Amino acid sequence: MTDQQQNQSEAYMPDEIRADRACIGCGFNLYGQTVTKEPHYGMAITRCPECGTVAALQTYPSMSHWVNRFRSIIAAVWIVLLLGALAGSTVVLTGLSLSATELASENLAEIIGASHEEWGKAKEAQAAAVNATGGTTPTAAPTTTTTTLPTVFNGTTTITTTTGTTVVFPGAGSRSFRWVTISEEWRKDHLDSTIEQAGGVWANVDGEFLIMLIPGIIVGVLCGVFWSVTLLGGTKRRAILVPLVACFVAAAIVIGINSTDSSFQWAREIARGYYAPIIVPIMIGVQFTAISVGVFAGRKIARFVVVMALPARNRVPLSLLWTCEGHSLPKPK
Amino acid sequence: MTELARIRAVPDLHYGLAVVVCPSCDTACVRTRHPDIQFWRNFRRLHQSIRLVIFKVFLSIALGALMFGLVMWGREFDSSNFQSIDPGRQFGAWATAILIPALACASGCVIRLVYRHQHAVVPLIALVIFGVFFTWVDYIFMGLTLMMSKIGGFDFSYHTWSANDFILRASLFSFVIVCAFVGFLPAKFLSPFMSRSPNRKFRKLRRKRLKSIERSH
Repeated sequence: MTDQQQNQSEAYMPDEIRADRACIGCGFNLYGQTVTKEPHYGMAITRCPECGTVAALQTYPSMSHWVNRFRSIIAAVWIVLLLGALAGSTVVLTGLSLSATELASENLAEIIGASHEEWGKAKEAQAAAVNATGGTTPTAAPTTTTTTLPTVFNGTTTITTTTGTTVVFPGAGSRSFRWVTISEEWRKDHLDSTIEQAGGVWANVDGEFLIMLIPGIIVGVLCGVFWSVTLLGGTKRRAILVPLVACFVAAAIVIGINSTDSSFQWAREIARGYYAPIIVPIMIGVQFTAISVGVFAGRKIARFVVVMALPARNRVPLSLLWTCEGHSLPKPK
Repeated sequence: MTELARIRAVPDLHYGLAVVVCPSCDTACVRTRHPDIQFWRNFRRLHQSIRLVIFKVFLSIALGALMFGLVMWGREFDSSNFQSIDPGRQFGAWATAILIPALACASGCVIRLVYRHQHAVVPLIALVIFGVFFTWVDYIFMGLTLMMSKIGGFDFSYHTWSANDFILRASLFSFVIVCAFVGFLPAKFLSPFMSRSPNRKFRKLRRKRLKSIERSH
């Protein structure tokens, strides 16, 4: 550099950076940083106060606006993807809770369906009798009696009416009555008494809904790990709020679906309406516990998987898994 | 105005910056990588790492499932078929006797190569964990079958495991794992060939760059 040029550069050298300029090391905005003259080449430089990287004022090429544009686009796409994942989590939780409710309500659905079927037959027989006598004989409304034996006696339910007796076997033996359409008249007059005679809602819970806890727990833990790793910017306590929202929405959907009241419902729908407020909190509670375990252990699991699967060189781009919690990237052995 | 684009940036000894000195006026400036390119390179590296993790995890799961599949296949093996007059049965017996250990060996070789940066115990443990997991799924399958039959409205016949079933599966699983461990030996010889090609490329590039820097000095 000639003396003339050196004098010129000294004359016009600003004291500090007066524009936005990102550090090439950490992205810190160097606005306001003091500019010094580096003795070796005589270049105007500044040091990043965050990472200490030297930034020369005369560089080629200059910063592009497209970086910020790309970042904005990618951030928007990422948010859309996260919203999609939240919707997916909600759907999975809803499906598992709905299946558990369906399984738990099978016994009661069979009893309701069978009882209604018998009542219908009795009513038909009564109408036939009225027609035979010319419609002059007053008749009493048909009645049904439901008796449920305890589990030690195979848990069968006997439904006795004026026309006969039907025995409902719980489990795989009987499932034809679940799809019986229940009339509004019977629901108003006989539904509560039938359930009461059968031993109540709790006595007729089909224990097989518990098998849904296995996929529920596995899916919950995986869901928790996913959210823990995806929401690296927040703490674990904050990350747990997102699946919590999914749990609430899933519970509301399942209870909402099963509380709709229409004139004609299948026996299984009515039975599900009784079990949804009991089974849904249990299922959602268990799944939320599994999700919490997944969220709190998720980052550790992810770090373990990365260390196991990748050699040290390939771990560097995933270093955020360590740095987000203040750890340093493990050194290669 | 001298074009500096084609002038090599010499790494600066003091700050580690890529300094380009103008041959006409001796003005020094620093060449930085364009942020767009840097961003894209970082993204590609991240993508490659995530892809590798997913590939390796899924490969481990698939090989664990293969271990379980080989055990299930081994259950069907009948040694009396070696003496059978039916050539099809005889062929089946020989195929089973050869393919089960061969596939287990190949799986061991593949997983050792995939996890060559780890100690030999790690891929073996991965195979055992995923194999046991699939066996457990098979064990609870009875319950799942029952559930599916209830939901789907069909009757499905199933049977429970006897003590002999447990012993047979455990011994077959041990055999398959030992065969996989044998597969680690060929992997040891193949491992340098797997890691040589990318390393060679990097070495070549590094040598070329160093030579050109020496020349410019």
